[in-house]
Amino acid sequence: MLIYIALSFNASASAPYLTLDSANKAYSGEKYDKAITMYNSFINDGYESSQVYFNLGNCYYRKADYARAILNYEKAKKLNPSDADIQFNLQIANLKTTDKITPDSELFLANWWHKLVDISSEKGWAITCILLLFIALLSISSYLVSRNLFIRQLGFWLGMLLLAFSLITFLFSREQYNAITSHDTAIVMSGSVTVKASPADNGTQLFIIHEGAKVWIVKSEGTWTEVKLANGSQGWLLTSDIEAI
Amino acid sequence: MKTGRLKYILFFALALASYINLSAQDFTATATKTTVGIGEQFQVNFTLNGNGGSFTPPSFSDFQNAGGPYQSSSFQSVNGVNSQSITLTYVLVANKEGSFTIGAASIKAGGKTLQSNTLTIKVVKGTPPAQQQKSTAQQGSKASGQGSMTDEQVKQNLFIKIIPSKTKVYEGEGIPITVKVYTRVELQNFQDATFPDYTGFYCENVPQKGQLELTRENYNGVAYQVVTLKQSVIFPQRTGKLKIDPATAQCVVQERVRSNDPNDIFGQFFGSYKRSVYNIKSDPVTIDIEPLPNTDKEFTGVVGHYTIKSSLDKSSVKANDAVNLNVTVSGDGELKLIDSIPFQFPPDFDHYDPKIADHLNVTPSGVSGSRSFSYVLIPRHQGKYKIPALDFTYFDPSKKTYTTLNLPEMDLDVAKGDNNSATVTVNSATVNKEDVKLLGSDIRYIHTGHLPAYHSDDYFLYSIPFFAGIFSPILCFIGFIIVRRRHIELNKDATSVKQRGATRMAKKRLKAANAFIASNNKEKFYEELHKAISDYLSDKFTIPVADLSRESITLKLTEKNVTPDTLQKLSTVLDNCEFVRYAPATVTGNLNEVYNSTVTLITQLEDEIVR
Repeated sequence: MLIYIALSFNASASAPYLTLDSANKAYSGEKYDKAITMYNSFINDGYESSQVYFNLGNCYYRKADYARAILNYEKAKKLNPSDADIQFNLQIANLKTTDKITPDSELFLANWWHKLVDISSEKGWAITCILLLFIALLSISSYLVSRNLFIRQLGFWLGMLLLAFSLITFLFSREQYNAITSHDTAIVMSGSVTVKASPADNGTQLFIIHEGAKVWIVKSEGTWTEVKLANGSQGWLLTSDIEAI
Repeated sequence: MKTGRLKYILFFALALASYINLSAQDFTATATKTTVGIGEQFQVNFTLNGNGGSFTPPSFSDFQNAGGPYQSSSFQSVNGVNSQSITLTYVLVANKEGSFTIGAASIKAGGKTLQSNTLTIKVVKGTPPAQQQKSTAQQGSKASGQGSMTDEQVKQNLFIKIIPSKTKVYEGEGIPITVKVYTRVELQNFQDATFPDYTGFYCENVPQKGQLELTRENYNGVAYQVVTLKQSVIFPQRTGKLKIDPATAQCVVQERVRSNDPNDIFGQFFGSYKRSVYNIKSDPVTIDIEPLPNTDKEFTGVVGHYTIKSSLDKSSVKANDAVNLNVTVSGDGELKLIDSIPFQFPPDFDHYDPKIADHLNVTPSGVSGSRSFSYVLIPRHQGKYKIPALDFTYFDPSKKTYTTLNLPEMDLDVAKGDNNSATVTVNSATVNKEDVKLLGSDIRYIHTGHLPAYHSDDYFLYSIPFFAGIFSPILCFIGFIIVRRRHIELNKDATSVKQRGATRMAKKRLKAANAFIASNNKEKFYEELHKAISDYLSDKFTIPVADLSRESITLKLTEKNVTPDTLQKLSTVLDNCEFVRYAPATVTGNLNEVYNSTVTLITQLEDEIVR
């Protein structure tokens, strides 16, 4: 049964992989427009992969469309947060943008938490969670069964510890899941956007951001979206000026 | 013209002198005043009775020459004797205090050089009474003692006027204003004219074309010759009643002098001409300036009548390329007072102060023309921009209302620039720094090979396999707990368990004995019973059956705290076994009951020994 499912998955996946191979060939042949079309068709078919977004980001970078490059690198990073290549290229693309937004100094603990969460993906953490749970229950069982005092103590404490770890990894997984499924960050796509104090054309102009800047979506109203910058500034801009990651 | 006339007169005089024998020749110098104030004008006349030429004036170095020499000549014919005189007039102004001598002038007449007398002029500080009297005269007065007109005559025949086209205006409204001299005398020239400086007004002068012209005009029903000295357009910058200072002019008038001598026929016929200088002064003019009515519109402060238009030289441009925004204001009014157009440019644009070009026409009826503003804009980033609409409000004094003109919104498409020079110029310091750091580095190559791809909505967390993975160990664990709990439940009463075990063990040992109950073989039954108990005790205390004696058994069991009651029971059973061997008849009772009591006994023993 399981083998059957795996086989059928492979069968359905083989066709888009062909597209991917030829797209990679187009990229190495410096036919970036062609590669972009092919990668996009892969995504439009309903597939999602950090690899595709990463490669797409590279194509846009080569075409000097840094906003789109950043957008795709961010998408790739969401799916595969621990990948060093993605982080590296995203960093380089970010250097090409106009705005240098100094992030609000994050609490050490929060920063540490984010880094820990980014070690693995939603799937990796979920599997770890199941494994830890399994071992924890085994340990607790051994505590219940054994007449040996040492084994009983070991089993109890190990079981509790692993149970706690299992819970933590579940939270990690959930965090990653939320990050992927929610689209609360966006990249500015227009060359220059004036952020206003209210969702209206005549709103007080607060500040200007340029293409490639990353913003956090706070809320939307009509054609306007309220965004927040890494430095804490907040204001309204037209939804059409940004694209969600 | 002037010298031409002089030559003509000289020629005529010489012609006459050639055939008329002139009796006496006399050359005198006279001054109109010998005591003058500083700055006051006076005349010095050199008169030659007769004919002459080659006049050499004295030095007037102590005075300023304000006019002249003017020459006049007169002819007289008395009893057939013709006489003639030539007068040369200098107008002088005293500059410094003191007593000065005007030296002798010389002239050649009749082959002789004649010298005039010298004159001493005393210059005093302040204005002599004569001057004061003149300034009190509103319409002008004689400046020259030689002027023959009275003040009244001057008033009627020679005056200067400032004529504004209107005297009640709004602030900032243009007023064409004219300074005119009206005359009925033979006005020859102006020596000096002062015009008001229009304090409180912004003044535009109408450029003068060529020479002053004489026109005819009726004033109070009388025809005058009119000279327009100056035309301006003034724009009041304050409100209230503003007084315009009077204008003054010094007019040189040619007057005919009639001879009083009845014998002087020539003089009576022709008279003689002389030039007189009259100072005239205008009445002051007051302009009533009304403030502009209140308005809630954004008013730029311009008054008049205007049109405005704006244009961008291109509608699409690359980032960092310049675009020109031209705005032209044209109409009637003081365009120079519009110094900028209050545009709100998109904040990401670089823009500079506008270049201003004027095309102004100042005419006697007002100021009109156009003023162009040329703004250079440099968009720094790509995008679709709008230069917002703008209202331009002016006050129209003819309609007495504010009029708002609208400059429409303008669209500008900015395409991506040729390179990233914008970033470099805008943020050069930081970017350069980072560029240096990144020199020689590039993005990493694409990922090839087959990395796992999912359907977009295919996540492991919360999926069926995930829940299966989570709940299967939990269910197993729960199952395990339940099984174990039941097990513990069963094991809860430890005694009954042991008893059950001991009974089972006792029953096993008494299995052989049990087999003889059915056949009611008393002897065999007790034999087996004895053997079973011996084996049990032997096993229990690991003592060989051969060494088992009643004493050793009692000793061991007492050691193990077996109750005396149980010991008694055991002893009874063992006694019975021995009695059966030797005297079977003494042993009575049901074999079944014995069997059961033995089982109970062993169970009891087992229980007590373990404890």
